[in-house]
Amino acid sequence: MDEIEQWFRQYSSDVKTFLVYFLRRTDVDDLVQETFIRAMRGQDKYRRHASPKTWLLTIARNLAVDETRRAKHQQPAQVMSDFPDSHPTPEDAAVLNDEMRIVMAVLLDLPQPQREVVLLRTMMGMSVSETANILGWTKTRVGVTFHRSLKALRTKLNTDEGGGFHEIERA
Amino acid sequence: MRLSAHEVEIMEKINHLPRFEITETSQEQILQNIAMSVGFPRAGKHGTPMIRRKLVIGLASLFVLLGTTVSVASANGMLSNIIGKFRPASHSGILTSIEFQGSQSNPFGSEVAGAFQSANSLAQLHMLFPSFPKITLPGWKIAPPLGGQRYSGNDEWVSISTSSGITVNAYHDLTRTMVIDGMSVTSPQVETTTIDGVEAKIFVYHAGTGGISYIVWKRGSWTIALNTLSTSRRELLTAAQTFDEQFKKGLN
Repeated sequence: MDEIEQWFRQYSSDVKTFLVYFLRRTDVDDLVQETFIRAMRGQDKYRRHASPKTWLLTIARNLAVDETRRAKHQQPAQVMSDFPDSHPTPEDAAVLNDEMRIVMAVLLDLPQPQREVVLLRTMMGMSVSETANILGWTKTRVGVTFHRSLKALRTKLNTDEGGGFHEIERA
Repeated sequence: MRLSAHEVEIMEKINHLPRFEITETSQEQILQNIAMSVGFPRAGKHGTPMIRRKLVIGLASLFVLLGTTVSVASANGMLSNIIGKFRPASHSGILTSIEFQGSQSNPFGSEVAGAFQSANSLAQLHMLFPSFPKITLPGWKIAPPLGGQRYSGNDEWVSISTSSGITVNAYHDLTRTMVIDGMSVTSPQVETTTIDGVEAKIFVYHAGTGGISYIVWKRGSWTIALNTLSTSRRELLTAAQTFDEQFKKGLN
């Protein structure tokens, strides 16, 4: 239990953030709890994984996929429209400007496979290899999907910002 | 695959999106639930005080000795299945450990009617569930989403949470016996008291350095289960009395 408690204190925010953006709703505390319960019950399996975070995100992702299937015909209690006012950290809340709202909306609008790759590779800080482990994909598929997702995001951001997306010089 | 400067910029923007934390109160509750789900109480930051550890072991032994008839507990072993099953798919937040005899999740013998309804305020809750009285709870910091579930007939379940760790579940025309942490509220081990003339049952669960206290009473056609993260009897009764007072006003 001590190890799980340590993981919980260290990674519960990552797990919650991943679930929130994956499921596009903020009421995910019960799934966070379930993630850690399953992690505790299956600690033997963890030994095969590179890091606790990868292991936890794998469990969380599987739960989220199940939840998506199960809730397909149910109306979510909280939808993406109330995201910014939910429980961001104070630092985040302070800088949550219009541009961030647009980025958030565009990210949430991505199809699930693209969204989860982007989440894992960016906010979760997972490597290509770790992302492939979590999703059960090949590294090539992760790379290609991630690249396409960023391209899609860029196109959408250009459109949503009226073509005003900040152009920067290529290195 | 090399990323362009645009793509790197997009990644940075995504990295600056809000992250979501679990509140301190919920953290403690969830950690307790995790510990309890695998059959032993959490030690807490400074270890489990002996007296509480003894209490938990004693409680478990008592169940075993008495051969409790509570199906949930006897089927799964003591303290091993006390995570609340009563949580509609769309409901979130802190889990309660309330179940119902005959059906772990359904408080009534009736079918679920419609989706879980969520509300941001007590007034909105009353609009969604008109039979739930229009109440105010001065001094209570309500933590949305509030919500509830309608069942066929007049059966309704409504749930209210506060940021200080008080949760109230109210059931209209409850037909099944409530089971809290594996112990039926009709069990003789549950303490009985009164709230403004009506009988109330108190159940305190100790785990690690904390605990959860429940009090259940009937007011009109409603059965109210209030729980706090504190095991203090005084705090529990004060919260229950405050809620009951406002609830009664709303019913009249």
